[in-house]
Amino acid sequence: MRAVLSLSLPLTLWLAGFSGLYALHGLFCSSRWVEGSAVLWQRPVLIGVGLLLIGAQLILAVALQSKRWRAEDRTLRRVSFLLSLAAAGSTVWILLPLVLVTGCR
Amino acid sequence: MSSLKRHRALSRIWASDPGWKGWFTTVNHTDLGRMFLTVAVFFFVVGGVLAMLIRAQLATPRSAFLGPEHYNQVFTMHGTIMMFLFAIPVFEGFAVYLLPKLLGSRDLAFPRLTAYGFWCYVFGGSMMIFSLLWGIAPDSGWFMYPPLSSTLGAPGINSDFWLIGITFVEISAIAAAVEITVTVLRYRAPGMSLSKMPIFAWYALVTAVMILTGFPPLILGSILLELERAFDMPFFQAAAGGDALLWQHLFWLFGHPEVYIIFLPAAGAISTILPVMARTGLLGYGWIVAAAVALGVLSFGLWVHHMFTTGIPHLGLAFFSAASTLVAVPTAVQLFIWIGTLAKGAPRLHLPMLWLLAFFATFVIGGLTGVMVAIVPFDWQVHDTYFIVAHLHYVLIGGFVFPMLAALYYWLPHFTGRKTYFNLGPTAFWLVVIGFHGTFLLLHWAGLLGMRRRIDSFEPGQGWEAINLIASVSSFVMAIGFALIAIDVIVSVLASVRGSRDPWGGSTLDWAMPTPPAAYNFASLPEVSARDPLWADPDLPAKIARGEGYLGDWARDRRETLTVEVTTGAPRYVVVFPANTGFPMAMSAVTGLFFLGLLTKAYWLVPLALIGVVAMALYWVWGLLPRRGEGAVPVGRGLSLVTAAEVADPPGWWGSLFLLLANGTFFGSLLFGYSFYWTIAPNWPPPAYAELSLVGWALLALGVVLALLGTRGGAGAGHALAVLGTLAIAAVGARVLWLVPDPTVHAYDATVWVLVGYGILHQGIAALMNGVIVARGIAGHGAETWQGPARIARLWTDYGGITAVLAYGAAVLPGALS
Repeated sequence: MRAVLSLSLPLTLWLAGFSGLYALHGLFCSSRWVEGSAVLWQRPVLIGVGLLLIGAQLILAVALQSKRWRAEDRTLRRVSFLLSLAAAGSTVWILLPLVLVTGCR
Repeated sequence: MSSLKRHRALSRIWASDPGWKGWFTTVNHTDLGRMFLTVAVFFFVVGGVLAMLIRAQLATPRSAFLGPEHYNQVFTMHGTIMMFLFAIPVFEGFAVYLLPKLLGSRDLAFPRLTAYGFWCYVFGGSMMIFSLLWGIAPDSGWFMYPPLSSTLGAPGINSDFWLIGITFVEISAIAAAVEITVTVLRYRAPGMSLSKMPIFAWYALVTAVMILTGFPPLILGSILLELERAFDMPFFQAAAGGDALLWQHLFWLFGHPEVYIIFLPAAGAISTILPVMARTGLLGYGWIVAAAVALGVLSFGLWVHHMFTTGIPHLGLAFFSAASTLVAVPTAVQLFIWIGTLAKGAPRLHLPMLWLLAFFATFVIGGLTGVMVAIVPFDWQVHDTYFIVAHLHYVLIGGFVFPMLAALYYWLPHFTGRKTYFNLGPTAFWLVVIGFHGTFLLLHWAGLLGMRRRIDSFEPGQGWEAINLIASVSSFVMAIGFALIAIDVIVSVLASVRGSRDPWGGSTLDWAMPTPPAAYNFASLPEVSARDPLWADPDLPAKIARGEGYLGDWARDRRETLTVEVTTGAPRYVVVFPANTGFPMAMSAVTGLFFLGLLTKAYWLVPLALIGVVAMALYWVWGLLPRRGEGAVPVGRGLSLVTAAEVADPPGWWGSLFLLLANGTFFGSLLFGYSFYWTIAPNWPPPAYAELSLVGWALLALGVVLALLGTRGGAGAGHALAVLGTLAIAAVGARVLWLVPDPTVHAYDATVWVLVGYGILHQGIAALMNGVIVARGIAGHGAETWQGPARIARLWTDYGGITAVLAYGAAVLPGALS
């Protein structure tokens, strides 16, 4: 079962982070995030959460390759590593809009 | 013991009932797989005829072939049938038929559940077809967006057929998904570790988990919309605190993963067939597994790209646009691996290979237009136009139907044990492929020229006439091609001569048995030591037939197979399968009465049918375990193993675990909907919130403690305490409902009824499960002391306790905060 978890955890973390970021963005928009106003903390918070997510992805990637948690099977270990990389890359990719796009318009 | 004697003995033990009775009482996966596929093909024909009606209507401007009302029903049912009654069941059919054969097992994990799921599919599908024949079919499009599908836009029974019929059919999908997940993880040949599994099994596993997590939001949405239609609970009415947009979220939380639920099994078939056609091993097994898992998870982060025109803020759009482009990466990884495999091998242009080449040409076009519509400004231009219609047909027909036709022709000799007779396949291939591209390629242009989807007629002079005429003529060419395939297959099944056992030189265990396969699959279960077992050991089929594997001895005269350790494939325990029975069909018929009562508003029938289903489920559970254990039994090759009844993690525990995954997704979707109302929906807050007293909280805490500790007590008395605990939790739920007497006032009240009702329902389930264990103890069954049933009851009790606290908490939280 550890092997199955090592395959499913990285991208599941990505999905949870992605959904969480979207939900947070929705919450900010439903409160008072007006572009150009004095209140500018929302975007840094979102970016901060995103960076935390990337950190968590990297920690998970390292943990899943450690002796304690890694899958015993070599093929599965490699697949788990590929998926960890994919999850970290995907997190970076979805963070780009946070920097580039306007908030609630 | 001769091979023939073994074959006769095992055939007697595993055979379905003879004659017509066998159709209704079979629990054998080979029979049920064929039945799934046959019924799915029937629905494909119905859906295809509807497509022809659509194209006949749109062949010329101002056509009066179909009136608007009939046209609405026809296009709605075309989409509904193809998505729900054809595509998913075809995957189920292939998986049910093939998986045990590919994995080296004798049947799926829960044979009676397979049969129950099949009959739910047949009855639910029949309900939908009945509505079509009577002219009262759903007519709001296969998305069923409210308010078009609510009582305001569709006051008749039409939408109810969709909402209730689809929910009924989805029981089948969830049942099959649980079945497939447990089978892939546990029911494999000894030695078959996860990394030696056939690639189709990986795809089936990912798809099944996607069904378990993708379908519950749709089931929830259907229940909420039906509750609104039947009892005026305003989930999607903005004036009463609801929001029609929530339907779109719930629908597409299902709907986008659904695309990959359809594509991934096809990709599994491609990854299986293509290396055999290329006469080489699959390049990059690990990469393919990673790509399948990545596609499966990423596809859950894309649902909003179907909602780009609903007024979502730019940043939200950009999130989903970025995520939508991400899926191109694992898809491309698979495509390059398949191309690489072809380059590495020496491909033969047999018919399955032709269909795979058609897949490449078509699916790549569909994939590229998919990337185009992932870009927000482009999507705004083509949303709800024929560009989208063309795109989705390129993806679904190119990405699913063509590979499935490759699979049909690849495994046809396995299904029938015969050669093809007329060799109509190549002619049919060209007719379908040319007809398909003639139909849909130009429709991209029609969409770019502004032709909206779902219109029943159009005015001349907009540049659409020639495109639509060519599309309609081509669609009939495609239909002739499909008719030829049907003739080819039927003649091959009925009249052709016997073929060889493994005509393609396949590498997987499905070709290690005589064809058509015997009911028991393998005379003895093989020991697997390579990813391509037949290429590694060409003598394996003979060894299996000679009984040199496991369970080759039939002395115990019952249906047995082995389960293995999830990762390593080491043998774990023996599973004894049930005999033929009509019980699953009868139970699905009673389930059908429940849905029929809801559909026809004969509400007196609903509780009666529900009691019937519960009683039958209890009878089913009661018969699952023997009265006494038998200790370790010999399984061959010097090994002895205990039976499933005596282990801590029997198949039922695994099945419960994955059923709870689906259940948890359902509950999570409900909480998502509630938060959506709370933060986004207009007309909040409601007039009043429910508030629970201190006594209520104390009783809830007491109930949870009793329930959780009781199931950990181990003895009968502990489970009796757990029953008391669940009843206490249910009583608190009843109190919360008492505080919100009218669920029609506001979406908050309606949601509280659903949340708390869910909590109470699960207390009922937990109480019944613990009650069964207590009753077994009273009846003197040794099972009382076995860990398996107690752990299953604990799983459900824990889940019920946690979700009840969350549900009640969510119900009263806004009141506490305000």
